[in-house]
Amino acid sequence: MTDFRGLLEALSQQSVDFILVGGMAAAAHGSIHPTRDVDVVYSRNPDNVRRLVAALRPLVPVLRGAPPNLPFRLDEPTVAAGLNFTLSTRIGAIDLLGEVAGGGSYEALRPDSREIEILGVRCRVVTLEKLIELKRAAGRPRDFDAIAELEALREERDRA
Amino acid sequence: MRHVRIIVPERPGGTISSMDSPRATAAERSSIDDVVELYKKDVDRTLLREALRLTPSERIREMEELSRFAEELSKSGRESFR
Repeated sequence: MTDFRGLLEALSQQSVDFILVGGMAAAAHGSIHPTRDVDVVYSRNPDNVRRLVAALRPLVPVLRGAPPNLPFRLDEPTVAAGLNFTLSTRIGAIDLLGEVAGGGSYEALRPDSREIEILGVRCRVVTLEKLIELKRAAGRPRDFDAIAELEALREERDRA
Repeated sequence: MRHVRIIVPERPGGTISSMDSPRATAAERSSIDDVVELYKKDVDRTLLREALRLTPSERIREMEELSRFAEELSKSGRESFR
């Protein structure tokens, strides 16, 4: 099972600029859907890419679902040449998103995020309103029930 | 997480976010909103209200416990029906 705190802590210890999105952000807002990975939108700034690599390299990241003999090395040129990476590490799965549909880059998404403490780690989490937009923009039928739940959460939160 | 922009037909010059715009037509809004409204009827709001009383960390811990339970259940199922 993914060590959610471990992954957040690894990123935080290297001062990586990232925003938590996806299922874990949904859970932070009150979703009761379980998730198996950590999804983050990271800044593509070269300094940040260096910190990102330093944070994740010790966790021995590999491309998730790729053949085990596929040569992959998480380093600065690789991250600079790519954009989104779905990785497995020795403490769980993490998706690194350089851009996200409906939200764009880290810098574009930042105003729609808030810094909060999760499991003892300070990190930025996308707002519930923006998370709904991201789920809608992703356009996946399997997200319909998640969108419904998030919208119900927003209604309940606003009612309270 | 894969992200694919596919489901909402865009108007010339429009974007997917335009479906939330007050200028969006009823036809555009219905493409996803009606589906979501149907799904919303099945959402157990009592569980959501309970979750809203917790802190974000407590919510994540609950989700971790649920994930652990689901994983154990899946493992037991695989072993039992092997």
